[in-house]
Amino acid sequence: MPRDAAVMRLVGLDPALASRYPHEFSGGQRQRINIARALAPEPEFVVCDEPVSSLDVSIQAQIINLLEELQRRLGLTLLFISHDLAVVRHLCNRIAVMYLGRLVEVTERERLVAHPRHPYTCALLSAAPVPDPEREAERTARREVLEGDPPSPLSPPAGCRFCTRWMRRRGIDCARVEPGLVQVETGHHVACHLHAG
Amino acid sequence: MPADAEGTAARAGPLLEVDDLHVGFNSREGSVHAVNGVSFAVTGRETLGIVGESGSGKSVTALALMRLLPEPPARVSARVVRFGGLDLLAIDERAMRRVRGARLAMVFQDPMTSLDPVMTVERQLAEMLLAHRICGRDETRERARALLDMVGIPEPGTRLRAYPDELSGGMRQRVLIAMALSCGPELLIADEPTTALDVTVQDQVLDLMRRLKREIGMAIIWISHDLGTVAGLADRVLIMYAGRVMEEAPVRDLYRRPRHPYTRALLRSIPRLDGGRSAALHAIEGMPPDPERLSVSRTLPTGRRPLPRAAPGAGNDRPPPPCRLLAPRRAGCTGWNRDLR
Repeated sequence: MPRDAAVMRLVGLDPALASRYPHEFSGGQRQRINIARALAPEPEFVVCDEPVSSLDVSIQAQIINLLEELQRRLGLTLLFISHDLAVVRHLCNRIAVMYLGRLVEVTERERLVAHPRHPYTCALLSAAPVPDPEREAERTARREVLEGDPPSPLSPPAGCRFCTRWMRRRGIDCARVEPGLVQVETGHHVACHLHAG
Repeated sequence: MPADAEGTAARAGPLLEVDDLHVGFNSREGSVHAVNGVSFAVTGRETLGIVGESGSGKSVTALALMRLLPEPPARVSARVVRFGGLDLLAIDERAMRRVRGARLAMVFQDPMTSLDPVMTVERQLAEMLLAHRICGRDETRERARALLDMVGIPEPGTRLRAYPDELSGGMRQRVLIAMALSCGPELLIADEPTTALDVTVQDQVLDLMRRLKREIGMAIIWISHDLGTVAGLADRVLIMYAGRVMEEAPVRDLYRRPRHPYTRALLRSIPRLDGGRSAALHAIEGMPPDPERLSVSRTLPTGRRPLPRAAPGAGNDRPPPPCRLLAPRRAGCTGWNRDLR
């Protein structure tokens, strides 16, 4: 089988469609074509930048399942970039949380969801609406709403970049010293003065 | 005074009543049926969530209610569209202009395209207030400042002089909400107002909506593709697919005991942060039908007829998915579960 046909089959597309133009495909199919193109040279490492963010939920699930299947079959390493923690939790083994150009927390996925250490990770986890009215009511009753908007990356705040949005910050260091990423437990790194030793 | 009479009528029955709404568009390729016989009602102080994927007809439904679809190419018809005692499809454009923005307001998804980039926030708010004669020229600044304060904008006096591009996405969306609230609407239609926002900012806006709902007590139609935001806001939910209502239920019933297979499929297709991680997501095979190829009309058969769902890529080597979707019936109708088994 020609290589292009093989790679189209790999992502669940009919090779007979190879002569069509992009606008003749749906959003989900276009994302499959993107994935096929990325996989054509048989890479070991694939960077996926928000690959499902613009897709409807039913199509999003198809693409997530496809990526999982391809990773298993081809033994791929994925760097999956997303704003959606639920998608990341579903797909990734380890999660790194970024804020204004810095890693603030890195750990294994279930650890991150169950035992987040950085206040920004906590805020992100608790800001996500839950598709269950009762749990959603519980969530909104106990979470802290983060103040303000993320500052401009052109002039990030001095000290800890998150300190302008964290109301219970420690007066001492947060606004002066930028915390480094330190290991708090095996495989769990946090950049926050609350967890600095 | 007629306004009082209308107000009393609205309290007695539903505030908004939509029966058998159809919206079609004539295009070069033919006729597109975007909304096919949608019926629902909204009572005062109630929040109705409308959930659907792209092309489900949820936004077109909202635009039709606001009478913002140019006819032609749009064709809007319904048995009834009654809002606070007014027949919205029958009144003339002059009368509609008194309703639109004043008694029936709307917030759109993208604040940057909804705000005028060359007008300050104050001027845009003042325009609304003056157009609907809410107050005189000398009072607009104070009113506008109070509105920004109400939607949680810090330093409202300073923000009044800002242009939209000087505000963050969350602030812009708050300004749009302030504009929508400026005339004290009885019903606010919000079409994906948090979709373009970061999750932490989205949470702030959801919080604001819950507070406004509590404090002002207006009715809201919250349109979203996101079952998460709807769960925390809506009292009742409509699930739309291919221009039709698939299921309608009180919010708890819908999430706890979804009756329609499409609703169930939607709920199982989303990855979640609460509870254990599911092994694989239940993807819905294929994709929603292209409204252009969906030649449904008023003569759409009712009853248990499968709904079309396009296969993933025509001629895919996998067999076409079984049509498990059924023609619309309200949730809670008798024998629904039995029908599905």
